[in-house]
Amino acid sequence: MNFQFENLQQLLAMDGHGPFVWTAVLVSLAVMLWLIIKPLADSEAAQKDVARDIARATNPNGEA
Amino acid sequence: MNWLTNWSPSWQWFHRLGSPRWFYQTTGRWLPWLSLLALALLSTGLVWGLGFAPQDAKQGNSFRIIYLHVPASFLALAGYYIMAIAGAIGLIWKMKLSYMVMKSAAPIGAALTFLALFTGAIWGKPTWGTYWVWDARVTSMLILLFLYLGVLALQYAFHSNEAGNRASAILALVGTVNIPIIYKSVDWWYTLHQPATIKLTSAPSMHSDMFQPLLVMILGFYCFYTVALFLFTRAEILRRERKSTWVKELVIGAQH
Amino acid sequence: MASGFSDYLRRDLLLAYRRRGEAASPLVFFIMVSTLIPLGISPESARLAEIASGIIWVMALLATLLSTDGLFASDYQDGSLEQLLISPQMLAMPVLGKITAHWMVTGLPLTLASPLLGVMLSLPEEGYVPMVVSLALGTGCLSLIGAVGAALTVSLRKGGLLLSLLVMPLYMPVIIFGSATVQSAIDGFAWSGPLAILGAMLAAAIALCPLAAAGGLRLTSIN
Repeated sequence: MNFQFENLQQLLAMDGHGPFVWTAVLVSLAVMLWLIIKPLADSEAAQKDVARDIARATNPNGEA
Repeated sequence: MNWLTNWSPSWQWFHRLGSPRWFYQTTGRWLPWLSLLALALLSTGLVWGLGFAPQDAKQGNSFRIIYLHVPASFLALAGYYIMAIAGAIGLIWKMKLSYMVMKSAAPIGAALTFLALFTGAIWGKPTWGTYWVWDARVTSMLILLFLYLGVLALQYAFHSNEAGNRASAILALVGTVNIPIIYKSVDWWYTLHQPATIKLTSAPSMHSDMFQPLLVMILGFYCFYTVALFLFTRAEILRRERKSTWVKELVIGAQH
Repeated sequence: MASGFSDYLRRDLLLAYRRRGEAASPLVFFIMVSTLIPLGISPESARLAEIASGIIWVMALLATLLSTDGLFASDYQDGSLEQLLISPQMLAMPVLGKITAHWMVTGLPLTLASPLLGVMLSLPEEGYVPMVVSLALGTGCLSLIGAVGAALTVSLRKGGLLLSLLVMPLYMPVIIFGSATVQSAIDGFAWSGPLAILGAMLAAAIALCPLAAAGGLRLTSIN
């Protein structure tokens, strides 16, 4: 098993197929990243809601 | 159905599994390890596939898209069954958690189906000379995307969360019955209309040097799918259970 | 013994007869869209003949889809659906009765009118009999599958568009085998094969769709 390309330029170019391969890779990574970030952001938002509810319940007048 | 619920302790695990709190805590323990495993498998598979696997004799380097396309297609289809099974469990045992899993599986599945179509289209350009071909597999994948979008749309159309859950569970089950019929029909339709100009390479017998990284990628995608499903379900749990004591305690605990 | 089947069949046919204008609109739609095809593509009969079988099938599908929305809607609004849901009888039989009535009001007229469209779109002669037979079986499938979507969306205020999104992917096998029946006859092949599969789909749909629709009605409209 050897590295198939001689240098970085060749790896990026992939004999002319580079744009296709790398677009596929980048879009895949972007979609997969979204699938991780979206639920984490949702969890964060939900926890903030709960924290606000608790704060309102313990301190109904809004005094600091 | 009383005997089912009273028949402890063999059914205890089942009911504990149905508790959102238990799920949240257990997956919280598993997630770091699972994420690490997914990351390791995906980066190994990707570097191996993109850099080290030999290039295909006919397709050259464009064949390397297979390392994303095939795992995404696998999970896109498997995800539909996971969603439908979760929906069925929700309908039969009225398990809240199961609906949450079903609801979470829909956007993940739709995203992976889109990914499978997108990578397939990009792969098509250097291979067939065109981005879109009405090939049997492509068409089936497109219909699968429509099925996912239907479940998502139905889920969000209901104001009542419960009615939305039940409706989309039924739709997912109807879709499951239909998927084999759709796939067979599209296959048959394609053989009927197969254009002579486009010859598809029917799953070439892969060399093991090419196949091993693919296997790693498929495993990696399975782990990734599980991580994403856990994360989406946990977010849903927090949203649905925000009035419960344990979520409040969790949030207070996180503040200190 | 078919508890509720014939009652609901008769009732829905009577209702459709009272609202004749409304019931006829899918048929009018079917015929009107067919005038758009030559305008949009070409009046040349050779070109029309090539696509006629597919076009007629697609239009039949859209026309059925238009009317599926109303399958349970009026019963839901006037409360008779709720009455049906709380009655002790098996829900699937009345639902099948309603679907049959729906087919007799939309699918059957479309089937009978299709030779007229065949003439307008210069469908080759060999295609007429297969077209009528395949439409008769196929529109039955479409009504049955559509009923499941209609049941899931009755309680939504704007269910119509959503319904078509849900149901359209499920329609695809029907249109594949429906238009293939006509096309194989035109191309001079035996057309009994695709027709038999269409028949099998209809049989499976008769067995499963009323159950799924009944389940959908029970689970989404009681709250």
